[in-house]
Amino acid sequence: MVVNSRRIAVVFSLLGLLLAGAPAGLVAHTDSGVTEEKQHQGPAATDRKIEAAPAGQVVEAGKDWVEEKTGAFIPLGLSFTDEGGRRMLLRDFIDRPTLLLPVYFHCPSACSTTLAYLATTLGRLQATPGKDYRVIAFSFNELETADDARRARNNYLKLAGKAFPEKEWRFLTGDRESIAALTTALGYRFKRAADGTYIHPSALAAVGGDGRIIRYVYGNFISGDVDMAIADAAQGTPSLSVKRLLRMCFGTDPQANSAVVQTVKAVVLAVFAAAIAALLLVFRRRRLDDAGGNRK
Amino acid sequence: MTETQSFFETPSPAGLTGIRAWLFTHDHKRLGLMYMWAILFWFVLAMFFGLLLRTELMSQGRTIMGAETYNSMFTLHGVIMIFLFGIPAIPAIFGNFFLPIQLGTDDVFFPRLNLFSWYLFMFGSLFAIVSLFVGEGFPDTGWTFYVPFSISTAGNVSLTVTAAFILGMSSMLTGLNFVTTFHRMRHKKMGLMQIPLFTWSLYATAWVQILATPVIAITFVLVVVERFLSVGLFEPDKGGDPLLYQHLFWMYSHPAVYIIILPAMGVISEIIPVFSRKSIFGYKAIAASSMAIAIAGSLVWAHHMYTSGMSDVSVFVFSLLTFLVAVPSAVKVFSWVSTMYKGSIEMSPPLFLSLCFIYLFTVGGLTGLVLGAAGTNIHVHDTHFVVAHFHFVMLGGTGFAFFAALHYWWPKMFGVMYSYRPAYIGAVSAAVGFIFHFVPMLILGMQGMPRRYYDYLPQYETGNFLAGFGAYLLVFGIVVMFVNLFLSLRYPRTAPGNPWGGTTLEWSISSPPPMENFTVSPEKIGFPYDFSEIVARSQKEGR
Repeated sequence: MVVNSRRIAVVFSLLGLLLAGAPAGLVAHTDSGVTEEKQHQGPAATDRKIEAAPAGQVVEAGKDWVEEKTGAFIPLGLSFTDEGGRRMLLRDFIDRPTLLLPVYFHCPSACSTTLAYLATTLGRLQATPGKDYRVIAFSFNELETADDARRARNNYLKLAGKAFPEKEWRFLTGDRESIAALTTALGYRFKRAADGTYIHPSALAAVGGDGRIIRYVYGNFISGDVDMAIADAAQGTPSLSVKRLLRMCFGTDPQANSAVVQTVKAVVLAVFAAAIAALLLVFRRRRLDDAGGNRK
Repeated sequence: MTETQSFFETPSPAGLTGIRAWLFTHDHKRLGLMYMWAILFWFVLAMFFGLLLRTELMSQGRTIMGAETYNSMFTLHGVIMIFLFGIPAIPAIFGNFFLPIQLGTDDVFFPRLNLFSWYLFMFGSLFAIVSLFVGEGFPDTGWTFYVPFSISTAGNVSLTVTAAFILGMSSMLTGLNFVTTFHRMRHKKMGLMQIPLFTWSLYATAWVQILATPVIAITFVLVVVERFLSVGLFEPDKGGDPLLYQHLFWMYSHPAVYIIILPAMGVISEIIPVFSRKSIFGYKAIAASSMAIAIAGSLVWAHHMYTSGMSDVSVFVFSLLTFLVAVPSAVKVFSWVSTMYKGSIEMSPPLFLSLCFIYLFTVGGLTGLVLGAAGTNIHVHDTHFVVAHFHFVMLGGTGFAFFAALHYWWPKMFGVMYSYRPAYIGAVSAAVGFIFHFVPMLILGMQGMPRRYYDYLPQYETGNFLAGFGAYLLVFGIVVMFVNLFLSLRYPRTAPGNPWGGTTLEWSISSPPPMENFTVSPEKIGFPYDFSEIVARSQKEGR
């Protein structure tokens, strides 16, 4: 019986080792163009300026991707270009609770899912578009144009459902200064990577009709979340955001460092093989000893 | 049975007196009780935090506390209930106390290590609570601390991860002790298929503890490496991958859920046959399904991350694996119910609580499938549905099994019997309150009420009021059960060695057990659930 249980112990230890190895492989295979993080996420201790910020304007928010500025106002005098190529002031559109979503339209990564999540959520809201709230998606890439915005609008309005009035969801582009002013006011940070993509969080802000920032909504939007934000914005009472996971949007090339991953895999396998071999040797020797003992 | 001195009168090591006899003890039974008082303290504390939360939510708007207090209170409720109650409760208390006895031996394999892990637990638990309050203001992250690498919460998070690691270390050492005791200290005549199922479930749990805890340790090291050496591991700015942190976190934390539920299932597998006077149905299947849950449960962590932007292939694989876990769980439920079929059932508080467990756990399991399927998950993700689901499993499952275990083994641990009537009253109101509390939350979740909110829209008011009402009933029931148990210590009625007619080894010795458990080593080791003698004896006594 003792030998029997010992055998079982060996089997389980081997199984355990294999299980420990499996996750390493699985993680290596998940592709991660999009991920979530918490709101208070920040990069390393660098007082980096937002790249798009005008010279001289140091952005205090250097450490958090979204630094909540609930209760503050966004400058409604900023001018943006709508999807039809017309200039418009924010003031012209924001006259009731409005959801502001910073994205960029030619995004290889999470922005499309973010926009899609927002679109389907809009379709499920209890609040009425146009009456209770309006929506703005604006690009923080100053190189994007009204054409890009129009293409995005054609795609995402469909997802929001036929009933959604198309005038109530605008897709804006703007120049460097307006973008910097708006994102700074929102406490929203983004960073251009070497290949022209952006690292940025996926979050929206609900503002009141007077431009007061009411609440931030993170992660993939839940209709209940957004409804609450709109209700608060209608009353004009800034409220505490629920700190949900913050989706991060960034471009990764899964193949980029595959040599490292392969090396790690090889080393891990070698270590496990050695451990298993050692275990087997020890047990074999002990069994031989036992057999020897019996003979005496 | 001859009069023997119980372990209360015999300190181990010998010669220690007073409080030192407890603080320096090597006796697994004393350690089990020391864990019990610490864990009960945390449980009651967190239970009242929970009650305050529900009171706040009973009506719209501000009721008794502000939004920030609310946030820190639910973090405390979650952290305490998971790390300081759920994970250690059954293994540390009942496992320590009964595993060696059920295996027919005098103590665990490493008694001093056992004492050490108690100190780790005490230190880690204080550390965890303190760490939540250092840094800037109140904690408000929930128990998942998804904030590993931010600057603003740096100190906080490093400390909290350290605390989780210390607590994990404690449970890992306990697990190590159980595995070694299982293999090396077992009674010579006890074969693998003669081991009680509670011990089997602890054995399966112990493996999860040993294998999963290192992952949180590795995560901790990586966070430190990233922070102090500026290596980009999780931070996209530096070329890292935040998803990696989530994988690593859940790789420990999801198996932790099975650390919580597996021993609870073991408790139920002990209680049902005893009060059905019938051998357990499918002994081998239950033992094997414990191991199967332990193994499959270690491979499903990413189902917490469906909406995090993993590849579709990963979502599919993890969804499939999650469904696989349901199979061994269902095998167990089937076996418990079949055990009762044609049994000669004798109702008692432990059995009643076990029946509650089966019902509530089944609901928890089925709602888990709703969440485990990637499609429906998107619909109810991060809503009250999720909250209700894991409370059905954690409280309805492990919580009720814990109460059942308390009522089942209380006479053995303290040698006193409690009164039935208050126990039934408590159990019934706890069960009814539970349903009133969490069924409305399931519905609220389907209607789209997001979790973690301090306030809600008007249409959710009825549901929240009902839930608050249920919460009071639930807490009332739990308090009645606890008070009843404590009163039995104050006004003791001596319990016999085997009040229930149990067949496992702990019922063959006096209550409370003597210092080294067995004054004479048990001679005959048969199948642990053979009730023929018990039934024959009671027939002879004309009962």
